Amino acid sequence: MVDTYILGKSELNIDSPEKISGRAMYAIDMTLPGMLQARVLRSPRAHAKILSIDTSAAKAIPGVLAVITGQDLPFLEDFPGDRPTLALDRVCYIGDAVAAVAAETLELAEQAIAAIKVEYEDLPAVFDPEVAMSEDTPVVIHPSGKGPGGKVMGNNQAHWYGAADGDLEKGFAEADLIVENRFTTGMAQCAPMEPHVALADVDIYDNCVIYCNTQTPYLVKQRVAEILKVSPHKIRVVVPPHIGGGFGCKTRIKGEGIASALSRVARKPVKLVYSREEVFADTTVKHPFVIYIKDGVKKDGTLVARSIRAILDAGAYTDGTVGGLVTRNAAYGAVGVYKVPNFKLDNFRVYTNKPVGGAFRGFGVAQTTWAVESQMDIIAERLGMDPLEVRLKNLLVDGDYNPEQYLMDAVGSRPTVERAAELIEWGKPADAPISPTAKRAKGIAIGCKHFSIQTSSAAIKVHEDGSFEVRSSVTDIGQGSRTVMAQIVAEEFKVQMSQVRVIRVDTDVTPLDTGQSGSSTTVKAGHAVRLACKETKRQLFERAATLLEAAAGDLDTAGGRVFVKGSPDRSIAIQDLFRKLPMGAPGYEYGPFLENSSDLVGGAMFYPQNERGPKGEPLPKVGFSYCSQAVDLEVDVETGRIKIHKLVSILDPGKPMNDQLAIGQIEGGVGFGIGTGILEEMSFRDGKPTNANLTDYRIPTALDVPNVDQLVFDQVETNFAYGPYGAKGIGEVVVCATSAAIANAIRSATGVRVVAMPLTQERVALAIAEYEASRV
Amino acid sequence: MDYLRPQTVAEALAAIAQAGGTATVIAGGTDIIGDIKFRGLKPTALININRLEGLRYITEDASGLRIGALTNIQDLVGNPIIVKSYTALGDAGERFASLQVRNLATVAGSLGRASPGGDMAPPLMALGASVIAVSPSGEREIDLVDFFLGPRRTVLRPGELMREIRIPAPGPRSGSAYARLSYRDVLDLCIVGVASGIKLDAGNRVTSARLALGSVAPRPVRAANVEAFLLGKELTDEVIREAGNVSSQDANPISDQRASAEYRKQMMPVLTRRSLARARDAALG
Repeated sequence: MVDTYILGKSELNIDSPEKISGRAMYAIDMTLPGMLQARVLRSPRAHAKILSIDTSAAKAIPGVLAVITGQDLPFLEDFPGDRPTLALDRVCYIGDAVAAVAAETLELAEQAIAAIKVEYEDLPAVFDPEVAMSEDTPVVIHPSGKGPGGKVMGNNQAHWYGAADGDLEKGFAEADLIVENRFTTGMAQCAPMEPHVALADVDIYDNCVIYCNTQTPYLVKQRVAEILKVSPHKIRVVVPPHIGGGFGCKTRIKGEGIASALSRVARKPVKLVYSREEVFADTTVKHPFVIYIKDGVKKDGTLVARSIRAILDAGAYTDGTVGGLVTRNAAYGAVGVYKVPNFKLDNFRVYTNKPVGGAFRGFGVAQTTWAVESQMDIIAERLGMDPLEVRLKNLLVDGDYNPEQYLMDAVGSRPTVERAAELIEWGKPADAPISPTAKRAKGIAIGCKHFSIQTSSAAIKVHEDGSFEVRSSVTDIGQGSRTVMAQIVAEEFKVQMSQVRVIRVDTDVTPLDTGQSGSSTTVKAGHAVRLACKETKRQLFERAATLLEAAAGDLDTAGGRVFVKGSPDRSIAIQDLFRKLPMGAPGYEYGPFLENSSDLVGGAMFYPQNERGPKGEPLPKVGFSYCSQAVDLEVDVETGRIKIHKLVSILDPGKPMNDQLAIGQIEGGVGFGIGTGILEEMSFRDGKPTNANLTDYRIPTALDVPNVDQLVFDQVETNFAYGPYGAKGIGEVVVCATSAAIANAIRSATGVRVVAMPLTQERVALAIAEYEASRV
Repeated sequence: MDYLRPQTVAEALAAIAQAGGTATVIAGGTDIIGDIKFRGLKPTALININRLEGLRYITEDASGLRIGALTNIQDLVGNPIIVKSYTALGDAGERFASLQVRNLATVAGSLGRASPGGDMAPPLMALGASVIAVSPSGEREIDLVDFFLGPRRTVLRPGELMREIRIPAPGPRSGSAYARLSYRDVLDLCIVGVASGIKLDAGNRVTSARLALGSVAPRPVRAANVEAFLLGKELTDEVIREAGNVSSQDANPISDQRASAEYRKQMMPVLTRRSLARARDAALG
C-alpha cells in the first residue's frame, strides 16, 4: 500500500500486550456479586416426543433458584422458525436443550438437572441426509421449504438454492469428455478455545444486561428481547474486548436466551458456561456435504459444462438465517474461479437428527471448493494434462460475468496460483520421501471465497485531550479488527496508534453492526469507521474554522492539530477546542467543555450499493478474495499418515490493512485447513456423538502444523476499488484450498484419489489398501 | 470427600485401610482428576501418595532395572540406562501425552489405571516386567502378564499399593522397541501400539521373544502367536514381514471413537514389523 500514513503497516495488535502477559479478561473470567450458575438438561434421545417434564424435585432443592422449560419460553428462532430456545413437545437430536436451571453453585445446578424427570416416547430417527430426503425416509422431522419454481420440496428438505447459466445439455453434448464424481465432507466443530459464555443480569424492571462472547451482539440483543418479550431497549449486550476464538459457532444466539430467562426468574445474575461437550454437540457445526459434480470438457481442457448437486446435512434445526445462507453461499465456491458457459447448481439443505449445521469458517465454500478443486485435478489427469495448465486455461478474468452473473473484478486467481506454483517449484518432481514406506508428491489448488459486503455503523468520539475513541459493535474474535479500526482512525487523523482507543462492544453505547461473519468485517467496519472519521472531521473543521478564520473546506488535520491547508502555521490543537469556563470565583474553572455541545462524536453508517447482473437482476453484494495453496508432502502408504514438507499459501487480500495481521490469518488458516482437512471429524453412533471432547476430536497442536521453515506464504495484491482503501475480506479464504491441495498431492504420490474429507490417516490407509488390492 | 497426603508407605497403607476400600489413590492424578471433574467419579477419600519418600528412582544392577512407583514418565525420557538397554520403555515415554502430563503422571499410576491403550503396559510387558505390590500383610511380586484384568481392572487387592516395577536384565544381543500409532505426534491416545523385546543368538536366531499389543483388546495382551512363530528363527526381513502377518491372530480389535476395527487390524502387522525391526536394530547395535 503506497501513500499511506499508517495503514498497511504491521502495527502491533492493540490487544497483544494484555494477551501475552496473561492479563486479558474474557467473558469466562467474569463474575458478578450474587451470581448463580446455570446448567442445561439435554436430550439423551435422537428423536422423541416429550410426554411430561416434572421439575418439582429440582425446584425443591435449597439453593436452586430458577428452573425453566420450553413452556416458559415458547419462542421460535427466525427463518424458518423450526427451533425453540428449549424443547417444546419434542426433542430432535441428542443434546437438544430440554430444561435449564440456575443455582447457587455448579454442583447444585447439576444436582437439579439430575432431579428433573422427563418422560420420552421415541420417534423414528434419520441420520443420513440422502436417506432423509428420499421417499423412504423413516421420519419427517420438520415441514419442507420451497424449492425450484416455489414448490414445496420433498421430505426433510429445508432449503434450496439454485443457479444456472447457458444450456447445460448443449454443453455436455459439445464435450469431448464427461467427468462425474461424488465427494463428501465430514462434520466439524469450530472448537474455539473459550467455550460459549453468557452472563445475564435481569433487574426487577426487566432491564437485562448480558455479558457474552458472541460474534453477533445486536442479533443477541434482538433475539433476547423476543425471548423475554420485552422491548429491545431493555436489553444491553456487552462483549469483552477479548474473545477466545469464534470461527462461526459464536454467531447468532447460543446460551444468551437461556441465561437471561433464568436470571429473570431468579432476579440474580446467572452465568451459563458451555462445557466442551456442549460446545461440540449443542452449538452449531460445519454442515457435512455430499457433492455430485459432473463436468464436460474439451480435449484441450476447456470446461464447457458443469453441473453440481450438493446435499447439506442440516442437522435437526436451522440456526436462523444461517441455514439458508450456507445453502446459498456454498454456491460461491463453485463460481468464483472458472469460466463455465453452461452451468447448473442445486444445493439442498436436509434435516437429520444430528447437531445443527451453522456458520463455520468457510461457510459452505470450503466444502464446495474441496469438490471443485479435486475435480479439476481429475479432469487434468483424464486428459493427460498438467493440473496447473487446466486451471489456468479456464480462469475467469476481470470483466467476465461468472456463472452466477457476477461481474468479476480484482480477480486474484492467476497471480496467487502462479506464485504458489513458483514457490513450490511446480513441474519439478518432489524430492525422495524421508520414510522408506512413504511416497512423496506435490499438489495444488485455488481457493476463492466471497466476502459478504454487509452494513455496519461506527462512531468516533474526540476526547478533550485530543485523543480518539472508536465505538463499533464489531467483536474481535482474534482476527485483529480492533487494531485495524484503530489504524484507520490513526490514518485518517494522522496520529499515532496510542492516540486511539477502541472501546469494548456495548450495545448501549456502540452502534449497530450485523455481526462478524462471512469475512465481512474488514470491508464493512473499515468503511463505517472511515465514514465516521469523515463526519468527525467535518464537525471538527467546522469548529476550528471560526477560530482559524478559514473556510472549513480549507482545513486538514495531523498530529492532533487542525491546520489550514498550505499554511501549517495557521493551526489549532484539537484539545484547544475544549475550553475551561470560568466559575465566577476567581481561580476556579469548569471544564474543559465543548462549547454548545455535549461532546464531539461523528457517526456514520455504511450500506453497500446493490449489485446487478447483466440483465439488471439484483444480487447480494459480495467480493471475491483468493488464496491458492500448494503442498509438498509424503504419505506413509502403510499407515496413511501425511507429513507435510512444505505448504505454500498465497493470499490476495486486495490491499492489506495490516500486513502482519494478514499474515496471521494465513498462518492461522493453514492450521485450520490442516485440522479440518486431515484430522477433525465428529463421529456418531446412532446419533450419539462419540468424540465430543478434545481428547478424541483431534484439533492440530502447534506440532501438527508446518514449522515456520516449512510454511511459505506471500501476498499478491489486487486493486479492489470497492473495498475501504482497497481491502478485501480474507478470514475464510485462507482455509478453503488446503484439503484439495493435500488430496491432489496424495493422488499424485500414491495413485489413490480420496473423495471423502477429512483425509484422516485411517481413510487414506484404507483407501490405499483397497487400491493396492484392486491392482493385484 | 476426605483428602489425605501421607508421607510414608506405612502411613499410606494405614490411610487406605482406614478408608475401607472406597478410597481412591492418586499420584500424578492426571487421569483420576479428570474422572472426578468430568466423569462422575465420587471417591469418599482421595489419598495422594505423591509425597511418599523414596519411591522415585531408576536404578540398575546385575539383576536388572528397578523403577520406583512414583517415578514420573518424564524421568524415563532421555535416561541413559533406559535409552541403552530398555529402549521400548524410552520410546513409550517420549510419545506419552505431553510434557506437562509426563511431569506429573507416574509409571506405576499408568499401569494401575489399566487403560487398554495405556502406553506403559506394552513396553513393560515386552521387557518382562513385574510389579512389587505392598500391603500391611507384606509384599508380593506380580508378573505384568497376569496384572491386567480388563479396562480399569487389575489384580491389585484393596489396600495394596504398587511400590516398584522390576525389569530383568535383558542381557547381551537383546533389544526392544515400541511402535505406536496415533493421529497426532503429541497429546493423542494410541490407536495401536506394539512393543517387542527380543534376544538373538550369534546366528541372529531368536532365543527369546516377548511382544505386547496395546489398544487392540480390552487389556494389553502378549502376542503369543507371533512369539511362537519367531522362536528359533533367524530374524530376517522376511521373517519380520511374516511375523507381522501372524500378529493378526493375536488380537481381534474393536471399533471405537479413535479408530475402526478394520484400520486397527490393518495396522497390527505394520506396527509389529516396525517394532520388531527396531528391536533387532537395538539388539545388533
